[in-house]
Amino acid sequence: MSEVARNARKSTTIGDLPNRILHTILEFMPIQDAGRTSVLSKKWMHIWSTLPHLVFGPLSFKYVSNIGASAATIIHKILMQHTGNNMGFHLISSTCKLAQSDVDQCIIFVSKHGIQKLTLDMANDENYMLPNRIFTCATLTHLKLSRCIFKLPDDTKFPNLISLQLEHSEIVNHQGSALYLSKLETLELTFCVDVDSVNMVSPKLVNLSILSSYTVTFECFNVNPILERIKHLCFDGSSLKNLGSVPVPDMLDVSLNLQSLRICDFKISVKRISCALCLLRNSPNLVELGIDEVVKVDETIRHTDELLDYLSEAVNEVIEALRMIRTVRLTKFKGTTTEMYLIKVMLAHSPELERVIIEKRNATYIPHLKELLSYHRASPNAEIKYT
Amino acid sequence: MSSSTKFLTLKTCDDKKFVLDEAIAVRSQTIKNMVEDDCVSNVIPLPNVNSKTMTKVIEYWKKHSEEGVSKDVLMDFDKAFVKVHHSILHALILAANFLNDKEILDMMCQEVADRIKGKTPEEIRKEFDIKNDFTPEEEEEIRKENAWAFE
Repeated sequence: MSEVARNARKSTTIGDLPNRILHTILEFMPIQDAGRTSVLSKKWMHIWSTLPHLVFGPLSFKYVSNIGASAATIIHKILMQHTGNNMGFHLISSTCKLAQSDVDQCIIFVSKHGIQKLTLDMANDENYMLPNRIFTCATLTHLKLSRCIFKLPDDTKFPNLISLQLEHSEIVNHQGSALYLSKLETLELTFCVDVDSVNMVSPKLVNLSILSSYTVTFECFNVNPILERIKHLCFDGSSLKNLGSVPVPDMLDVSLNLQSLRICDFKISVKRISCALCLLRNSPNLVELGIDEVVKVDETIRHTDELLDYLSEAVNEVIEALRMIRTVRLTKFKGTTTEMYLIKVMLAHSPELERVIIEKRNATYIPHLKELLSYHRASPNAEIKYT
Repeated sequence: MSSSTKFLTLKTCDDKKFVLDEAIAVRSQTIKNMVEDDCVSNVIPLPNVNSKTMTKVIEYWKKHSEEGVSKDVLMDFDKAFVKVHHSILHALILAANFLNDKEILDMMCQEVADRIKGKTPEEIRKEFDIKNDFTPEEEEEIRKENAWAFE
C-alpha cells in the first residue's frame, strides 16, 4: 500500500490535509478569519504565513474600518509576517481608499516575492500611478487594474504577462514607445479611453473583451494585425455599436480568425445587429455565439417593425453570418418577443447548429418557452436546452 | 446514445467494486485521463478512496448528471450533502483531490471555510479536533502579532 493510502486511513482531522488544500480552505474565507487560524497550532501557523494568495477584499476592509484600524498598517503587518512566495495579491474595495505610498510599498514587497497575480481595485478618487518596477517583474502573469494610470517607460515589457484587465484606467504613452506583451493571451478593457493610441505588441493575444470602451471601430480590424488573430471576442452593446461609428462596411479587408463571439448587455437596434452581422460574416471559423442579456431599448411598434423589416430584408446576410454556428448560448433570458424572434431567426438559418443553451434570468416561469420547440430548424438535430 | 453506453468498474481500497456509466465517471479528471490515454483495462483501482467515501462521491455525480434537475433542487442537494461530520469532509476532500474533481473539492473546502468563519480559535479546535501544540507563551505572542484578527 502506498504511503498516501496509509495516511488516508490514519488521519481524519482537517489539519492533516495537504498544505495546498489547507491553503485553498483559507483562501475561501475573509483574511481576518484566515489570520485567526494562525493561533490554532504550529501547522496552522505555518499554513497562514505561507498563504500563496492574499486577498484583501470588501469584507476585510469593512472589518478593519469597524474595529477602527488602518487597513494600510494591517496589510503591511500581514506582508511582513509572510514567509515563502506570494503568488497572488489582491486589494479590492469599492468604498475604501489607500494612499499611493501604501500601495507602492505593497507592490514593491510582492514584486520581490514571486508575485504572479496582482489586483488593484480600490475606490481612490485620483488614479493610482503604477510604480515602474512592476513592468520588469518577471513573475507577473495576471494583472487587473482599476482606476490606475500606467506611465509607460520606453519599450515597456511585461515579460510573462498572460492576462491584462484594465478598468477606468489610462495608459500614458511616450511618443513612439511600445508595450511589449510577448505572452499576453487575454486583454479586457472596461471603461477605458484612448488605449488604441498605444502601440501594443502582443503576438499571442487570442481573447479580447471590450466593454464600454469606445475606441475600436471596424477600421481597426482592417489596420491592426492583433485584431485579425483574436479567437474569442466579447463586446457589450455600446462598444458593438461603436464599431460602426465609421459606416458599417459590407466586408472587411481581412478575414477574421474568430471562433466565438459574445455580446453582453445587447441593446437591440438595427445598427447593433448590422455590426454583429458584419463581424459574423467576416469570421469564417466562428462556431459559437453567446448573448448575455438582451435589452430592448425602444418598445414602440415602429421600432420593432423597423427591426423585423431589417432582418427579413437582410436575409442573405443573416444566412451568411450563421452558416458555421454550432452553439448558441443565451443567458439572463427573459422570454421577451425580441428574444424569441432572435432565436427563431437563428434556428431557421443555422444549418450546422448543434445546440442552443438558454439560461433564464432567474427562477421565473416563462410560459411560451415550449413554443421554441415548434420553430423551424435549418439543422434538424439541433438540441434546445434550458436551465 | 444508450446503445453506446460504456461502463467502468472502480475498485476502492477496501476491495469493493462499483460499476458506473463511463459518462458519469469521467467527472473525475483522473479517470477521464485514464480513459483518454487508453489505460483502462477491466478495473480501475482507487487506492486512496474507501467504499464509504466513494458511495458519497457517486451519489453526488449521479445527482449532478440527472437530466432536468432544477438549480434549486441541486442547491438543496448540495446543502444536505456537505452537512456531515468533519471526518467525512476530510475523506471527501482527499477523495476529490485524488479523483481530481474540482467541483466537489471546492464545495468541500468552502464548507470547511464556512465552519471556521466567525469562530474563536477554541471553537475551531473543538469543531475539528485540532490539538494545540503551542506553549501558552507562544500562543500569547502569536495572538499579539495578529491582534487585528481577534478584535
